[in-house]
Amino acid sequence: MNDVRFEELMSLALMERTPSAHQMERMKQNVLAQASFPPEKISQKFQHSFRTGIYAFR
Amino acid sequence: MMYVQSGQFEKLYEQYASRVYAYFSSCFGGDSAEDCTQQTFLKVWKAMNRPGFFPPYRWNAWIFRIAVNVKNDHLREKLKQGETVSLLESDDPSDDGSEKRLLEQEAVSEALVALKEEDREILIFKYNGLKSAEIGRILGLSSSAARSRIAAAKERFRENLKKRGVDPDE
Repeated sequence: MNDVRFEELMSLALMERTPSAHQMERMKQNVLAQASFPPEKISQKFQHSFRTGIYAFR
Repeated sequence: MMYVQSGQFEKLYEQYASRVYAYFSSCFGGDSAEDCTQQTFLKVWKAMNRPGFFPPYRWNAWIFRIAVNVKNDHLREKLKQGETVSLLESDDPSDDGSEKRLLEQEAVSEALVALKEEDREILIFKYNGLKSAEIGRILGLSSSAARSRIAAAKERFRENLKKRGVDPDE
């Protein structure tokens, strides 16, 4: 199996494991949201609110 | 303060996210692939924003090294939670003879899935352009040991292809 054939076969094998454009975009938005709002930078009080779903400082 | 050049992260994401997703998907199936891909790129983002970050010589090797760490963390976390980790396994042989198996893509995909995880992983690294030395560093092997593992994995892939009626040397 030469290198070109190997690449061709691997490309075929992984084709169905490629994410859709919609998935790609969703993952990117999730990463960017987490990157700009990292949980470790949220105060304890707010973190608690965050976990319980109440988005307010107490 | 941002240290990443504007658009650099997006460029890397566009270039590598689908490859990283395919890697995780070939390890775990689709369920965890999305989470692990996001974790990987979050780590990429954080690393790139660290003061003094120096761009790696080869981005693909660097990103795949992060992906392997994310995969190992994911496995550890699942085991800690007492969950069974479902690494991708070959399809049920009872599917033999179904019409879709006639398609080359299906056959090739199955030939890859039927490999042991370590073989699959090393072939995916190779396919993504990582050099033997880089694969060795990721897997804790010498460069020559990595080369032998690649050759052995390729041979087993080749055998699996032949079993499924695909000519590996076409």
